[in-house]
Amino acid sequence: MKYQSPKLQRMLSAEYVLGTLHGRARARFQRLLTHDAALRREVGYWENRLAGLNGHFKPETPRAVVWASIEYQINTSKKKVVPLRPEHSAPARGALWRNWAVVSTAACALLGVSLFEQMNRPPQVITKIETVRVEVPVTQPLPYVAMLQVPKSEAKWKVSIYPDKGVIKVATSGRYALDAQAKSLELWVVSKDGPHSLGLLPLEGDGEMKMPEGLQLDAGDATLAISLEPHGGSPTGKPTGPVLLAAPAVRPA
Amino acid sequence: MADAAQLTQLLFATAAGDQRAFRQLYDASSPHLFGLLLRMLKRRDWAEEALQDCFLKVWQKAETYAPDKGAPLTWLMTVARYRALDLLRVKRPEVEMPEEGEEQSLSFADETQSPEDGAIETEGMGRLDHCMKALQEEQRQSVLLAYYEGYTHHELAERLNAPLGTVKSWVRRGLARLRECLES
Repeated sequence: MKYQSPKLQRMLSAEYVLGTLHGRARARFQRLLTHDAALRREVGYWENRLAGLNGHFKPETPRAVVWASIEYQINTSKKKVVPLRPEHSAPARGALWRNWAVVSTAACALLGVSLFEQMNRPPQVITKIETVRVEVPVTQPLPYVAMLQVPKSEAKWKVSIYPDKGVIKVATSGRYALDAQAKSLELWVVSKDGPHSLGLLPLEGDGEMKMPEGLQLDAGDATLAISLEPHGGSPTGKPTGPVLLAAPAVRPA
Repeated sequence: MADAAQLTQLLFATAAGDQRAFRQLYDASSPHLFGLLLRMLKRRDWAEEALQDCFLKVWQKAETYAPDKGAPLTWLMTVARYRALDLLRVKRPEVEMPEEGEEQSLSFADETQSPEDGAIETEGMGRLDHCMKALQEEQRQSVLLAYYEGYTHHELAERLNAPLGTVKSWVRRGLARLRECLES
């Protein structure tokens, strides 16, 4: 079905952008939109005009953990497929071509790209970390395991979470440079409803902590994150300082 | 704040898979998207979830942005607004609608704010503002509530304490008059 009347097209487009076209009518309109250029123009008109109202939204900086989660996801499941040729005409100057060169390199060596990115990042940017799978006898419940390494630091933590025993084991190698009188590193597990503290990370040596009571890990893999907090840990129960890294914890299948 | 030309470059680089450009794009624009999402979704956890969805979409679909069709920030805000609308349709049943008489707490006080106060894109805004003010009160209220709160016709009817059919025609006439005014 097509919406023949221009007047109806206009009205549906306006209500689509406003959001008052809902339910099945909205779904049907969306389908038509994919192959009707005139409708797309109408929608574009309203999107741009009503955007004038956007100035009344008050900007607010989101917490660092949101970016950590985005970066984790684009580094894992959502591998970007770079089109051979962008749909729009390329910008005139050389910037894009340099990026294309980077992308070609990345396509050749997947490992290379993460190294390249790590070298080029500012220090506190979160980096995806190698994950390790451990071989454990099948009779034992399998732990979630993650290797955490803060970029530009020697320190590494191997974190093993045993949900069945309610225990988290941490093995530190190297040493993380930090004024331990003023600051602490806090370990978090990021689940669908946000980050939950697992406790403070040791700066050296090995340690074992109890899992917080009532904590349920999402099925499958979990995401761990480390944030820099005031001495003794976050005063609010949620990350307050910069997130140093986020990484997946893998539970061997 | 990055200007439109910078954001456009960052979107192009993101389309080509440049993660550092994507990070810069996020830093420059996420507070604006987050402000919209907080306002529409009211709940911080939903707004964070939606913000994440939006930027994953931007990462995947940056190449669909075409500069001739609008400003880059407008495009990003549109992605966020549609995401908020989708989430509201799924999740709103969990949110209490304000009782009659509580309008004050939720009223768009911002509406009286001059457009320059929080303006991120002043382009065309003066005209829109002028045309909004030219609408009848009920029409204007319906359009603004739908835009800022993401209300459905039913929610508008409940909120404005008016029959569904009446509310629908306020929205429709409001939009039609808005267009006439914008094009005059």
